[in-house]
Amino acid sequence: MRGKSGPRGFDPEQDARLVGLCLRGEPGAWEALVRRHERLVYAVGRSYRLSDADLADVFQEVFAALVKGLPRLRDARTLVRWVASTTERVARATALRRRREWALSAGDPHEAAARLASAEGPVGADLERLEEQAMVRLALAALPERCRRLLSALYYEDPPPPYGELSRRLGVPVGSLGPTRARCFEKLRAALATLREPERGITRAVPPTSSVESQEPGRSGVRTARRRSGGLWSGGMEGA
Amino acid sequence: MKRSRAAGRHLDSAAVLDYLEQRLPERRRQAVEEHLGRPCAQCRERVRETGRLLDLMRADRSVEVPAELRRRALEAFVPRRSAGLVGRAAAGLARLLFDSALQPLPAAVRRAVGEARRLRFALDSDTVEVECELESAGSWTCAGSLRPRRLRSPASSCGPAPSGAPPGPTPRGRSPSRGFRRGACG
Repeated sequence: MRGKSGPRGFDPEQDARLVGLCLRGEPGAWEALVRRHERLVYAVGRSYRLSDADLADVFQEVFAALVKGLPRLRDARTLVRWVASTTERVARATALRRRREWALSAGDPHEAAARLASAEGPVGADLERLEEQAMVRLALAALPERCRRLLSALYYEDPPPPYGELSRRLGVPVGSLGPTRARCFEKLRAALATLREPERGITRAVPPTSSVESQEPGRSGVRTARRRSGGLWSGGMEGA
Repeated sequence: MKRSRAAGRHLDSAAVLDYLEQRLPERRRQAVEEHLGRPCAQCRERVRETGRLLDLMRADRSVEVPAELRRRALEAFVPRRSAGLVGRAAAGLARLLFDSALQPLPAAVRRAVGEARRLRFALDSDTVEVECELESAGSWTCAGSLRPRRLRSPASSCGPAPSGAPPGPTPRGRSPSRGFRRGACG
């Protein structure tokens, strides 16, 4: 049964807490934040078919932008949307730059034009799908270890191991695997539903602070330090 | 009759997963499909949603991040332990020492300093001074400072200035001689 805050032990505000800990200089908080979102950054970056060097630069730039934006991200319930959109912008800009350089390296204007016309545009990825997959992994990471190992084996390994092998790996009788799988899956669904609740902020993107900023409307909100009567100041969101 | 009864019950998680993963015995599978075909919107939605989640997981081919990339990301942030003062301040409870809204000002002083509201708080041994100006209904602009005890002038003291103006932070852009004395309460 899902409570208001999700399954027991699941913290939908983990990112917000880690941001707060980073700002307080707590050792280990930044590494925890990086580890939570590195896979998503890497996956989005790779989808643009960048060179290893460019991919590494994109990776570093995204996390540098996150560092810069930490003071404004205190209220972020989850950084998945921010990470994905920032990475997409940085990766796309890098891919376009490389494409132009390649075209212009032709020397001959006609050849350059031909290269530009023929070159495949940045492929990018189905960003929404990558975000959802990242959220599933975040939810999975918060489950009890047995659930994490069981669901990871069943649904991330290709091919999934047979029940006999799973039984040996997890120390669970074969006959119990089915019910255990169902219980764990329910916990995963509940955790995901909590992450997706609108009031948790998952649909409210926080804009990137990188110099590579998008002009895309409708995808991000503007976060400013909002001063309210009766208090000193507090974070808030305006615009959308 | 047995199958009909089974087909009437909503599907639990195990049944949905077994159905999607084709682990159900033939008769059970037929009962599930009969139930879904009634139609049962709730179970159809559940099957659809579960199937989508399984597809997401199975299609997730993201790979582990190379250690070198992670190292570069980790180096982007160095926690600043010297921020401890701010961290302590933020974590503590401030005691209000002065609020200009509670102390009526002489008209001459009010003309000099404007309608800004000034507050001073004690936070452990430090002082927080804040000046707020009303921008519009319900919206204030505030500025302030955190003064560690060791940075305060030893000659400062708390209390009204001899001119009758209350103590408080020096307004921005105004010299202390305009009626406010920079000071702090110990």
